[in-house]
Amino acid sequence: MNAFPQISRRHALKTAACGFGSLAFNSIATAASLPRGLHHTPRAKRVIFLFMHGGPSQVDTFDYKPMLQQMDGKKLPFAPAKNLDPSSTSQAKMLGSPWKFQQHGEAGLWGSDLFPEVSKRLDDLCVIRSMQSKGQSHGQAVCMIHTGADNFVRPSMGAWVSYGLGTENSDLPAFVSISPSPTHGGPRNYGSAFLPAAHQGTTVGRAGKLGKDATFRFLEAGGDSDHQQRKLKLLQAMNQEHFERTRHAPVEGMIQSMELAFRMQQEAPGTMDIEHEPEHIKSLYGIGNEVTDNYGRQCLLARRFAEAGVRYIQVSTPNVWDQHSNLIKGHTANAAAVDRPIAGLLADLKQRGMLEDTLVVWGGEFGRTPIVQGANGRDHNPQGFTMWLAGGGVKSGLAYGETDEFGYYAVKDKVHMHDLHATILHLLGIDHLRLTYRYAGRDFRLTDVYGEVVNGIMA
Amino acid sequence: MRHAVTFTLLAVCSAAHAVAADGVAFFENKVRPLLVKHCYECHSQETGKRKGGLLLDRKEGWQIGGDAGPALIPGEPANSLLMHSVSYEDDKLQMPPKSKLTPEDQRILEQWISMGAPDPRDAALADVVKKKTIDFAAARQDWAFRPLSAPPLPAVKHKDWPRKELDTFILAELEANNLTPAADADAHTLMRRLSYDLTGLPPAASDLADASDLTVYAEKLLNSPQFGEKWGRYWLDLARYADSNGGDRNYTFYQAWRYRNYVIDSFNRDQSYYEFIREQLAGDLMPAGNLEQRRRQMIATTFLALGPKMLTERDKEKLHLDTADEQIDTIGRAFLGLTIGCARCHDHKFDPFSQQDYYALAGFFRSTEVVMGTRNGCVNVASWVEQALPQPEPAMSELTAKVNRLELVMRLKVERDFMQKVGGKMSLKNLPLAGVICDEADAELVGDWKQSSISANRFGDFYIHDDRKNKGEKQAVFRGSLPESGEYEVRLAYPAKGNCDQHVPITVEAFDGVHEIVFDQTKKPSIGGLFEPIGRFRFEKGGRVNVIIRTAGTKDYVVVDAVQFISVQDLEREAAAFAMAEGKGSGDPLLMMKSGDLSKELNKSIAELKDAELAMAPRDARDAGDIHLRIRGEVNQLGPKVPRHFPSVLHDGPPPKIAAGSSGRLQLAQWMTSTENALLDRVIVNRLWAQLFGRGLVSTVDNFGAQGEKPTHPALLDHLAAKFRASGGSFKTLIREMVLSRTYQLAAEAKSPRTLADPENRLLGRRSYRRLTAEEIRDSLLFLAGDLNLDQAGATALTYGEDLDRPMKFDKEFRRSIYLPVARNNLAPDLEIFDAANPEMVSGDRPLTTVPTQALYLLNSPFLQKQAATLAQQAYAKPEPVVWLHQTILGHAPGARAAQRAKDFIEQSGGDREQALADLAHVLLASTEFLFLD
Repeated sequence: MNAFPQISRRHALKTAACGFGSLAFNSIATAASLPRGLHHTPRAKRVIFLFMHGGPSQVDTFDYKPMLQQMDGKKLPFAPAKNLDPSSTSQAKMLGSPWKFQQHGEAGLWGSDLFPEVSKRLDDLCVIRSMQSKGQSHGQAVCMIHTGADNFVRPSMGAWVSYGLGTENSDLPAFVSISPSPTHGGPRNYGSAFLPAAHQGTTVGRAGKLGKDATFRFLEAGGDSDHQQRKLKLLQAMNQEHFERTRHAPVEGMIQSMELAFRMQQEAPGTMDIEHEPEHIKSLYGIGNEVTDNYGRQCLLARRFAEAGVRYIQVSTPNVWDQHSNLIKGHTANAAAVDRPIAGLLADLKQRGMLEDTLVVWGGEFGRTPIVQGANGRDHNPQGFTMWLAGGGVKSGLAYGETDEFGYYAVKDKVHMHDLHATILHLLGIDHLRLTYRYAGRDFRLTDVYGEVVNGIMA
Repeated sequence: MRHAVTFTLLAVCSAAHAVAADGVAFFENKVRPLLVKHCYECHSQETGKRKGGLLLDRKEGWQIGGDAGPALIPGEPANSLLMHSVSYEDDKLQMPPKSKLTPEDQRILEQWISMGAPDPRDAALADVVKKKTIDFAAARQDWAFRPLSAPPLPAVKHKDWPRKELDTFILAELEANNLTPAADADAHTLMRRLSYDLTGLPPAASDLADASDLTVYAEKLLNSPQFGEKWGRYWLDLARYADSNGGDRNYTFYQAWRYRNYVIDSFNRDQSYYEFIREQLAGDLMPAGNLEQRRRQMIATTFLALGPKMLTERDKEKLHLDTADEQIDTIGRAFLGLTIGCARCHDHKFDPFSQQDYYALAGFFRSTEVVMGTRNGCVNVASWVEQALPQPEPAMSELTAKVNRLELVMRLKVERDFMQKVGGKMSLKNLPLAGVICDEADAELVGDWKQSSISANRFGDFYIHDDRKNKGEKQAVFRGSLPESGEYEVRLAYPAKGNCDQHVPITVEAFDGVHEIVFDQTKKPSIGGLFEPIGRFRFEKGGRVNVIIRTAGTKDYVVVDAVQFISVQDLEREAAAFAMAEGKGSGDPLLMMKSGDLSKELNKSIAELKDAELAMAPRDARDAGDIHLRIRGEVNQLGPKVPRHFPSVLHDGPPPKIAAGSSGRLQLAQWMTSTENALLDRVIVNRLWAQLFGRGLVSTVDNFGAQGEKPTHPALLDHLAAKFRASGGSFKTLIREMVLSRTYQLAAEAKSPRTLADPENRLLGRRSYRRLTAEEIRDSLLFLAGDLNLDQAGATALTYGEDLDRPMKFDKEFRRSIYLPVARNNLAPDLEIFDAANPEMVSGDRPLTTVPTQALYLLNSPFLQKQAATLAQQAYAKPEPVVWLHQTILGHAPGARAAQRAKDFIEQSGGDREQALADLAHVLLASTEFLFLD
């Protein structure tokens, strides 16, 4: 099932035949094919994280609350969360969901008609309805979901995974973030903080937009390949001589990374080229449809990166889910843009047999309040919300945990964001307690001093 | 009588015995299984877990309790932490954490506590808990913390080898390891080394032509303005310098550049390190001889304000404590090489720092105002303090007035929005409504109160009344939360009517005690017809702020609408606003402005002041004072109040005397730089050493604690520190001493007995290679092509807008890299790729990475190729262009093999000779020989 290293190996032989430094390549390839951080047999080899920036509402999507519908307009019978807009908390009037819910599939999980396509795949999902996180504001909560810290600069989850497992394909980065947001911490959310810089996410596209010719930074070669290869040959001869004179390890490192860069230049554009995908695949992702084209391209690109051996891929929406007002209009448009692409991604992964060892994670930095804000909005709610997982070793067709009868606070089998992080690492074969990095005199972890693996969702 | 007493006692005893037996049975049957099932996993010896310091597997465990105190009070379930946490009423403390207990299980615990919590498990806590105490007296003798010694020069065999005293220390260690030093480096290598190390630029061709006297050359470099730009950059790494906030909102720090230039100038002036430190900690509080000095001192304190902040944190006390934490962490690591920040939640695990020490320090910084106001008009998005820089009148007064007005706009905007948000059916639209207002919906109500909206004269949508029923049972408890300590007027809002009660008992629980007031609700409220003062009281932030309106003893209606806490300092402004509302008086029109207009005013003021003569300088907070320890670092879990003090391991004496209302930073700054604190000298001397020798005597330059490395040459470290102290903290003196040493001037080696015996070069028997820094690479690329502009730059981040999130292009910027705007989360790619410091944290030792992105940059960067083309154009006109390119870029003519390779390359390039030369220049600029220094 491990097809990816072969791709790079084959490619490597080809490149090595070009003439320079096969010695250097071997040392990198060996290092790359031995994941250093495995603590137990992994259930997933890679993660695709579909980040819904802004915070989609749980009570309008996957957490059905009949009581909320019944008591629409009535006062919440308990105290709302602190530090929120007083206009919503002082009245605390409940707002029933404007969307219809129904049960789907064999397992009978509830989904609203906001996500008709994803709802059809609920039998593939593990819906966690008892998520909790830290941070009532976006800034804190976005950093929390990405780095496990709401107030301090810490490495992002993808960087930890890259640090823990290394890369599966030495021609590509281990961690790619597709069209990440520049706000709410921006690059901190795919940054490596104090981990070595090599582990930070490589970006393609920006702010929810992929753009037609989005690519990695400085990947575009100046001049044709022959021209560059001649220069590279001279350069490597000089560097080699310099290394022989100095025996300085970083000089050798530079020689190796020159080759790696050259190969990346050859390989990455092909991986990122989605135009040659068959039409039926493109339409599966909603590519070509005005509404779904953008996110569809990103999801398809994510699949291609996953296939090529990237460990951790994030696909972000822009910061659009923040419906303090105009809930119906906003959520309708946001869901429409991602529903088909996400369902397409799930279907495509499944038909390729990749869902077995790819963990798909969906969710925002928090959910939204069941009480109304203004006339037709919902405020932030890290107290209880929904995220779902699919593939990679989690049970399918499972609804795990519960919020109270109105969908406000998580009350049963609560899963804190730290727990989710511990669980994702666990599925990748990493013990979150043992994946540490010594910095400033302390061993840091993604989960700080928290986190418990959620065993109840393991397949 | 005596008999009777005895008899009674006996009866009580036996009854008690029976109850006890029943109690134990109840415990065994009901309570123990529940505790085992739900609590032991995290709170028992068996599992080895004692979360929050609490054990629940023995009686003494809950009696003494965890970090938050006893887990329960026998007989008082309502006052027991255990019930509080299992009821899930507090979102910060919910147990068991994953799922709530069933109501039945909760009742069992409640019943058990009501019974007096009978518990036969009498194992003692002492058996499992060994409280670690820090032995400060012993810790003060540790190598890092003890006073500076004056170690004698060690004896060496090769007495003629050392040139400087430091060489003797190095040689002694080499000899002790049976090694000899490497050969001296040649003059050209040394000039290149010196030039980069002292100025960050390659040597000028004219200097290379005359390599006669290195001492003179070193002096020239030390005195060039480029010295401060090179070494200032190092300090900026430590100061986590940036031109934007990072964090959650990447707002532009328009005034930060002044600090950058202050640092550069300080290095060029060779300012005393001690004064440099004092100014950064407390420049605003230091005496100044003239305007210029005063400006410098204010700008210096920008250091405190530069950290990344979560400006949208809604819990403002948390924001203040997080800001203080960031400052402590930075100062701890940058100045003292210590991770003091680790002691926020518990005593430091490895180093001699208690949590007490942490909050003793935090008091200085919590007493310093850094974050305030609102940046965009939203109460949840904070801004930061900026103050007018001293300047001649009348400009000074005009500017100060503008700054004060901006701060007023910030306050008014927040208050106005708050008024809109609490609903708007008040009869009086123009109420200023300053301070903190709690509506009746925020109150904890006891008993059945009736909601009403009959009277239009009310705050918010409703008010409540007791319906003249169940007198004494009903009460309304308002728990306020105030942003700063001080004296407040407390007011009650109520629609006054003749049938209201005239003797309503009100209890105010303030910091200065519990006050009982009798209040007449028939009287028409005097403030806007809505509020009536109850009295003035002193409150503390984080302390109790409770107003309890009771009904006991009343006959008529008791009505409750809202409670207002207004700082007495805002009363004057409020009065002016009232006067204007009534058409009298002529205050600032701001006071009457609507929310939308205030927003415009806010944006206008911020824009107008962005290039004004301001400093991003903090100031002492109005409510400066000691703060409470926070249990487990939780903002709302107050422990005892801790007097401001210096870390115990570094200071053995009474706490400083700090005047009321003062932060005490001045005392902190004086202590920090006093001779008592030898650690300050050790840390900075080691930093300079590491910059010049590639590795610190203590290799973990930011960590001198137990988790750091021990010094390789402890005597040398103290020797240098003592000399530095004796020189009054002169950087240039110490740097001169180091670069003129023989050790510094050794040759680097590929293979020798030294590289075998000492691969890491801990003994410094040879020179270590080093890669150029990010700034050195970019500056050199500009310099070599003749493009570098050596002028000092000013506010380079000014033109990029209110935040620095968008990509920035620097292809038209030819000044040194230190002057490029440092955008957090958005660093200039040319610099980021080559390991520029992450400006979000102290970075005393930049990591050296080798990643493919660097190679991609070297292969494909348009900037690098442009510089190569410029060099090629110049080379084209030279008689020997290939030699000239080598000479210019690498600092020496090519050897025979290199010359032949280059010649072949050009010949095989086809017809375009200039393009071929540009390609050669590109290759040379991308080569490791260019990127690494011997």
